[in-house]
Amino acid sequence: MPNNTILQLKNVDVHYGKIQALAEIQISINEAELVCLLGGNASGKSTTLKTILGVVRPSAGSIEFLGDRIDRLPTKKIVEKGVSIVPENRRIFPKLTVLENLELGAYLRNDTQKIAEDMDRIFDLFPRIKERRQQYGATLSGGEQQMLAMGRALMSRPKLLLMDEPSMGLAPILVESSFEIIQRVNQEGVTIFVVEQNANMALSIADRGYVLQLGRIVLHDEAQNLLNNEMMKKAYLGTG
Amino acid sequence: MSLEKIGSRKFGEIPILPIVIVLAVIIVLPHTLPNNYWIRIAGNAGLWTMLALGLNVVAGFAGLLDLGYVAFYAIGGYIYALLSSGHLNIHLPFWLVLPICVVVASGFGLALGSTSIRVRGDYLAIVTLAFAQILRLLLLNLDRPINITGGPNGIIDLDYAGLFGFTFRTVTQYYYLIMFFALLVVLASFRLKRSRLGRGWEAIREDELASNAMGVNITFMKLMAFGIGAGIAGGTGAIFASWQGGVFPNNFDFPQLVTVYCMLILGGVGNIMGVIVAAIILSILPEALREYGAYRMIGYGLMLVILMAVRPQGIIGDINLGSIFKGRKKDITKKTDELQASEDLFYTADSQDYVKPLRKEKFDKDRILLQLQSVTMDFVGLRAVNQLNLEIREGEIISIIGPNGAGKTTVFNIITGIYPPTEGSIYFDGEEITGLKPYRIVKKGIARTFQTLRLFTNMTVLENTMVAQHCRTKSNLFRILLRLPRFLKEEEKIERIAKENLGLFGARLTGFRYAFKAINLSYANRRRLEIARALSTECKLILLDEPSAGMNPKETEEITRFIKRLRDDYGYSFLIIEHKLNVVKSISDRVVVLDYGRKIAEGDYDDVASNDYVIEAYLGRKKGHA
Amino acid sequence: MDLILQQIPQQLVNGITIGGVYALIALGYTMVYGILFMLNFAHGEVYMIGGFTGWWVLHLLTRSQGPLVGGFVIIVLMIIGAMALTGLLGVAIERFAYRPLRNAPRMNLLLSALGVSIVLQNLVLRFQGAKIRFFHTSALIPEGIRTFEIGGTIISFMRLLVIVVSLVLMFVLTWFVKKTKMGKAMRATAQDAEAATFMGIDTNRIIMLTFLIGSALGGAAGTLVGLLFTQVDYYIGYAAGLKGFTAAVLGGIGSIPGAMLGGFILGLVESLGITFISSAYKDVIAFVILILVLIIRPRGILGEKEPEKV
Repeated sequence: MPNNTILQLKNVDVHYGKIQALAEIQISINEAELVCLLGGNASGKSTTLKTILGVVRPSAGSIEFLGDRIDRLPTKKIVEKGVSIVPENRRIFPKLTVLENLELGAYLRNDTQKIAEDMDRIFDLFPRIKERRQQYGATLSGGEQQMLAMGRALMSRPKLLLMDEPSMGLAPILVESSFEIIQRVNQEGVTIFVVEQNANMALSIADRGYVLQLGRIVLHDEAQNLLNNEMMKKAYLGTG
Repeated sequence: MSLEKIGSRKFGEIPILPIVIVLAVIIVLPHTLPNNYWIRIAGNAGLWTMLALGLNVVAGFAGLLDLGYVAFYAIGGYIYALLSSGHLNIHLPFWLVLPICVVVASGFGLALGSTSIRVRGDYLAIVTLAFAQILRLLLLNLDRPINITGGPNGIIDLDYAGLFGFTFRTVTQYYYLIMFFALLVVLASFRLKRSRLGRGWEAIREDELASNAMGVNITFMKLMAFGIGAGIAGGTGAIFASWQGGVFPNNFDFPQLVTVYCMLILGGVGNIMGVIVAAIILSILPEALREYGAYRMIGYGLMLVILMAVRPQGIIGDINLGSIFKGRKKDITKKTDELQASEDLFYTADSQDYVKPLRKEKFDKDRILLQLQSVTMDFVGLRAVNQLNLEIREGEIISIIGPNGAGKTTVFNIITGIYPPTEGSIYFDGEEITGLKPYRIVKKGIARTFQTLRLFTNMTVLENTMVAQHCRTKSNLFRILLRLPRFLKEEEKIERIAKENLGLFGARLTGFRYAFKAINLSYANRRRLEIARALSTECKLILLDEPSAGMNPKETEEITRFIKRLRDDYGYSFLIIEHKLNVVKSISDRVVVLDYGRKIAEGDYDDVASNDYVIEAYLGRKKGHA
Repeated sequence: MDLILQQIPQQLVNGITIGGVYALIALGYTMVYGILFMLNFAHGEVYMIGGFTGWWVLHLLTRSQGPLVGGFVIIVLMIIGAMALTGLLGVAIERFAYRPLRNAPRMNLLLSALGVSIVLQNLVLRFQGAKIRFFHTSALIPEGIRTFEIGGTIISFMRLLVIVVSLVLMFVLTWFVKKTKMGKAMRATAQDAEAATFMGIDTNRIIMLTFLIGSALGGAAGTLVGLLFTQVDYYIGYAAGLKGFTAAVLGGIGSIPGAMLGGFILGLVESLGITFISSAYKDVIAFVILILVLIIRPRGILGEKEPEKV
């Protein structure tokens, strides 16, 4: 279904100085899909996201978003085009209020009226943070921060939402609820690309998955097939 | 020189030919110069060299940005002026005043240096700058109510220097006096750099926390650097004062500070040869460009800005002067570095040159090595570790698992003394170690690695490991400067132990890799080097923070076997944080599970893995446990 | 003793005046530090150049027979001119001396800043000379309002001007940082620059803006001091820079209200110190405070402690 491909990475290489972090990465994501990228520590997952966002530059290959090359654009332009991220460890601005955090999510927008509407929509989605809208980000609990980070990312009305390790540092119960939220947002039509170490959790909600090892994609399949893959069971699922 | 020998240049090997040439040039020089004016410049170059090398100890070796450095130069100069002139009518002899100047300046250096314990980086720069300003204001204003410093007019008519009944009067005589001391300072610089002190400073400069955790006493080392630097500056000040025959506040002001920093930067911070060359160049160049004198400071300023942006290692930094004499090209290593970083394929047996002795005696399974009693750690608004009890017996391998943020690394930081616990106590080998500084704890026998890898990245593989011997060695300044036999013997031991431990990893860290900078190693090799470094502290217990992170399955298996072997053959005990459950399963005698800083389970792997609470908090209910 | 006590109200006024100036300088340090964690060593020279800019505006708009335009207009032009020039200067410094070192060790950054400071100071020395430039301000203000008397204490117009201008600038800055979108982006960048880029904030522009504002405030301070003490020379930046930094550290570096508070406290302590000790040691007082604060409470009055990351 190439006509509704939203994001496509073709043969992307990334180097940090002499060290190669990503090699020949091929990823494509279709509209309204929920795709996950799995892998261990230092396998290059975060680098992949940073490369999509233009924080890190690929040394070879190309990245297309909605049919346009974005691999040479500054981050600002990429965000403007409709890519948004919930970063690893959420990265809430600790000394800005919840409201200000959300406002910054809409930093590149000027449609005041619609921003207000979206804000209400976020508060409907996460009533917990509505109660706390005048508090500093730092005072929120882990779960609330996760909601705020999600809300902040949605405030830019993204066409593609990137999520970097949403389960990291969260209590297991929160992990489950946070994946439910991801699923819900996806069902509302937002394309989501999740990077996760928690393979079980991610595959349980994803349509498809890629597996990254030492900077290379070693596996790519429907989520259901990955859950039954022998190598996956051994290396990542702990069920082998 | 073959690749294998790089980095193992024989200790005490002296390049005789260059030294003879340099000495000859120094002796003959004044007789070839056209007039006293140029001999004076040559003498000045000697003074600047001393001054720059003194700063090189503080800012270069130890990496402390001391912007009050000229104050010590001033202290030396003014003390000489007070004790050897008609000003107070005291006329002490030069050989007595010079050491006084050195000692007093050193004392001030230690006092100012003591602020560096609490104040770092930019703040230290400002504290030292403020100190220099206070001193300058005192020099300018202490002519009233009693005339001590002579105010803006300074002190004049100082005594000539005299030694053994000989009085130095002419420019040439002073030139030789200065050169004598300059050569002493040069020699001392080289000796300091290649000693446990030099390596300790470099380690602090690279990574203060890691060097502390490897047994370097940061406070002591910083004070030492401040004291030595200030002493050299004080002595230089005295010689300068005697030569000039007077001291004035503006001899010791901001422009002098900038000049001496420019020498350091131009030569390459920490690079002794570079700094000497830069000091000579910057002493002569302004004379050659006298007509542009007004632009000198602008030039210096631009030099700082441009060099920092373009070549922070200094322009002379990369030229190896020794190699010019020997006619060999340097940096064969550079290419191999790149090559090897990506290659790294062969695993050979342990190095044959240095074999680590096996442990003979049996483990005493009842002996408790480490004991944590209700240890609690509070951070602002967060209880990171809550009433933790933990015991490790000799020869045990214990793993700590738990979700991110459960407090695992904090436990490591508490045990190694990086944070003193809020409550509770810690015993090691029967002794209480609660609240001890990290370097003391290392000395007791606990070493660690870091999750995020904290090697001294710009030091070589061998040097990284040698730093770890810091707390096991004792050579003091005196022994180092005089190269006493005990010092040389100690250096041999340091190198042997370092090589024995690197040898455990076979060719991965030995041979030509001794001379690799840590930064050029592959990721897995860096993890290995961290372990070798920890082993070189001669510890009993090692804390490994995610030893297999970033390793592929094959490497992971190898490191797992390696850890077991370290226990079985060499008698180390381990506390390990690890996320890979297959590693935890195969390696651990016991597993401790943390969640929100609390121990929620403890026991052998299978027990823990089937514990409902653990499944809930960590392993996950769905398909989590193996 | 009575004589000294009588002086106290006067010295309080002096302290608040000079404290306002210190606060303005301190804001430049604290804003840059808050966002780049660097000590902008060149800030003192920016202040000095602000003073010279004010002098030139005054000089160009004054003829021997008197000012070309109204005195108040000249004062406003002096301040605006100084702010504009130093603001641009700050942006240029950041662009050429600091940005190339964004990822370099802190020591390199500080040495580069030291270099900038030396260059600026000596450029001024080269082109303006070492002699003191006097501000001929007497003709700027109408006879009747040159001094005011409030409860027995005499306040000159210039003092009042300095207090009012510095308070207004601080108020505007606070409003800007708290309420505007740019201000929010600025705070976000200071708290987490990478996360700020993720929001689509161009952090390089925010850093430029920070230097623009911080330096402009320093430049304004330079001109205000010129108006107050009627002189400027190439060497004033050094001590003023150190004092501004002292104020910033005293209040808690990185904190905007802290810088203001620190400025006023330092001004007051210094003024009272002159009364009780000797004016020769005025600067010593500030430097001793600096050293003590850094040793005893390096995070200052309003600063927050950052836990060491391992």
